[in-house]
Order: sequence, then C-alpha cells, then structure tokens
Amino acid sequence: MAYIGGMKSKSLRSRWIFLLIGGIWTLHFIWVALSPLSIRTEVFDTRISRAVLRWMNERHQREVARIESRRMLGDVLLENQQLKEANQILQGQQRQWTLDRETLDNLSQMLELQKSTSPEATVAEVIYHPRPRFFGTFVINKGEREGLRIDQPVITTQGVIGRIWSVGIHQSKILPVDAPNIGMAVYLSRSNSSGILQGRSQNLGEILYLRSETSVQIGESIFTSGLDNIYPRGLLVGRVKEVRNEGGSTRVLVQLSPRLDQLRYVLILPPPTPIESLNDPVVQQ
Amino acid sequence: MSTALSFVTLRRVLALLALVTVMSTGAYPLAQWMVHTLLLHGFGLDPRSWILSTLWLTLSGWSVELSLRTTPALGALAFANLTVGLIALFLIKKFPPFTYFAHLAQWASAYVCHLLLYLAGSWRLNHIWAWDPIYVFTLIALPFGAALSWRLTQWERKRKL
Repeated sequence: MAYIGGMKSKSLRSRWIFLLIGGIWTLHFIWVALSPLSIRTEVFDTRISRAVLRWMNERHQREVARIESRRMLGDVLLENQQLKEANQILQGQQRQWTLDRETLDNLSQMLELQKSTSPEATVAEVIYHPRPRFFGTFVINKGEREGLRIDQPVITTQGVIGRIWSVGIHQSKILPVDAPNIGMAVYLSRSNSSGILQGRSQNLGEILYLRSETSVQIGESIFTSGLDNIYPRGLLVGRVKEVRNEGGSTRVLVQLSPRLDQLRYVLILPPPTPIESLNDPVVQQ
Repeated sequence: MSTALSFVTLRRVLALLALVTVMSTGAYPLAQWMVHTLLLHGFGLDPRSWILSTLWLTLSGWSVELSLRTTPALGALAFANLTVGLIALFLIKKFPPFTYFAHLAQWASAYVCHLLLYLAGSWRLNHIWAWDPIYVFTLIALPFGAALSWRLTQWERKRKL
C-alpha cells in the first residue's frame, strides 16, 4: 500500500482552515441574522458596548480638552504679544510726555526768569553741545534775524552761562563762562572785593587781580559786578571752591554755578549800553 | 526545478496597502468605499490562500464600519464581505475568467450582490435603509478597478503565481 501520510496531513490542515473560515462566517451570520435575540442585546448592548462607548467617550473628551487647552494657550500667547506691543507704545508715549514735561518746565523757568530780568530778553534752545571738549562753544537756535548781537550775556536760572561769541542768520555761538578767554568782571559777596574771572574749563574758573589783603572764604558767592559793560550787575556766577596763597598772591578757584553740560534752554539778555566816547565834545542843544 | 513561491506577493502587498488606506480614509467615505471595493473584489480574493482572503474580507468590512459608525449596530458589511467574497473566490477558482469582460461581469455581479446583502444585513440589524449615492459612483468607477485587478491577474498568470 502506498504511503499517504502527507496527503492525510494536508487534507486535515485544509479541513481545519475551512472549519476556521466557516466558523468566522457562521459567527457573522449569527451576529447579523439573530440580532434581535435577547442574548446579544443583553451582553453586547448593556455590558460590552457601554464600556467601550464610555472608554471612547473619555478618549474623545480628553482629546477635546487637549485641543481646547492648546487653543487657549494660543489665545493667551497672542494676547500676551498684543499686551507687550501696547506696553511698548505706552512706554514710548510716557517717554515723550516726560520729555514734553521737562521742556515745559524749562520754558516756564525761562519765562519766570525773563519776567524777573528784562522783558526784552530772548529765550533760545541749545541745538549743539560739544561739551566736555576744551574751548567748546554752544550753538543756539537764534541769530541775527531774531535780533541777537555779539557780546549779549546769556544766563539760566542757575546763573551766568557766558556771552554770544558770534552771530549767524538764525544761529549763534555762545562762549561759555569756563572758557580761558572769557574775562568777566566779578565781585565777592562777603568781602566785596572785585576781580576778573577767567575760565579754567570743567565748570571751573579763577579770579585774577584780587587785592592781596583780601580775605576770601570758601563757599563765598560770586556775582557779576557789571564793570565789564557786558554782564549786568548781580548775576550769580559761582562759589569759591579753593583759596591758595602762592608767593604773596592769592589764587581763588571758583566752582561755577550752572551745569554747563546739562543746558537746554537759555535766556539772552539785551545788549549792554555802549559807553560814550569821553573825548568827543558834548554838543549843547 | 524548484518552484517554491514567496509568501509575500504583489497581490498581498497591494491588499495590505488597500486595508491601511481603508483604515485611514474614514473622513472621506467615497474614497474609502472605492478602496474597500477594490480590496474586496480585486486584491482581497487570493486564489492561493482561503484564510488570507477571509482575513482581508473580514478586516476590510469591520474597518469601514468602525470608522464610519453610521449605524448603531455594526457587522453587516463584514458579513456581506465574507459571504459574497468567499462565493466569488470559489467561482473564480472554479471558473476563472479568460477575458476582461468576463472578469468585469464577475466584478459587477459580485458588487451588486454584495451591496444588496449589505443593505439587507443593515436593515436586519438597524431597521434602516442604509442607501448612499457613493454606491452608484463606485459602480460607475467599477471598470477602472476591474481593469487594475485584471492586469494583476494577467501578470500573475505570466509569472505562474
């Protein structure tokens, strides 16, 4: 008899496969055809499907919550960006308002100073400021067209700034009070002695030609004497910073009152009255 | 000469790709139904393996129903797939088509039978008439799917797969 074991095993395998396929199909058939049976509705609809649906619902809720939180985070980030931009705009406005307020305060002070000195005085703005360069001059925005002339004194609320050095059409240069070639007639308030102030730069000056017996005290106020026919008498110049006795002469160093490196608005006083020529005969009318 | 054939064939690779596409196109019912039809009547009927054919038919039916979930009680499509697909596979093995038109006729008749059985099963389970125009669109596009599977069948015959 021939060996048929392999054929037997192959047919058995095929039979199991067809049994499996038939089982799968039968399960589906029962599922569909016998669906109204209570066994399916009881087991599937009340126990299995509810659990599955609950699980799916929870997954769905988590997904919705995740999307919502992501959307909220996006909204918060967008709002944060908008607030940052608004904050920058407000900070810019605040800076501008601070500058405007400072300008207004300066102009108010200049107006008060103008009222207390001379109504013909002119307010000007410093538009070029080379400090702390040595021999540096200021440039203001008023010139010949606005009626300025050379040697008009320039002051602020803190004291004397200098005088007009040169005049352009709409701009002028100011020789500061700490320039070495300033030459200002001053007097000491307490000792009442006169001298000539010469600039030493860096907001410092030195009083020359003081009498040797003059007793000068540190901190003493110094005013313009008006004897140079440029600055009117009584303008504050500074205070005595240091007194040195060198070889019989007295050197008086002066700390000038106005901060020359922080100028913005200045007041230009009217030009001095020209001195008449005393050699010319007076014509009797 | 040894004629041992590989388990991985072009038909099985295409069937797997079609199944993945069916699973991932739940948001596009027309495309999903077309790919499902291609898998059901074209790639899924593997003459070399009854069990693999059963696997493709069952999985494709449940994938479509689980992704759509248009009816509360599912299973009608998998049942229709299994019933029509296994009968169609038996007929293909018993009476293999030798022309494209015979192949197309088998496709179209199987498609109509499958659709009717699905609708009947769905009615049995849910008591609703689950009609949709996408069935007509798929029927119109049927020659393209049939041509594709015909080319695959011809290629397999040449390779003696």
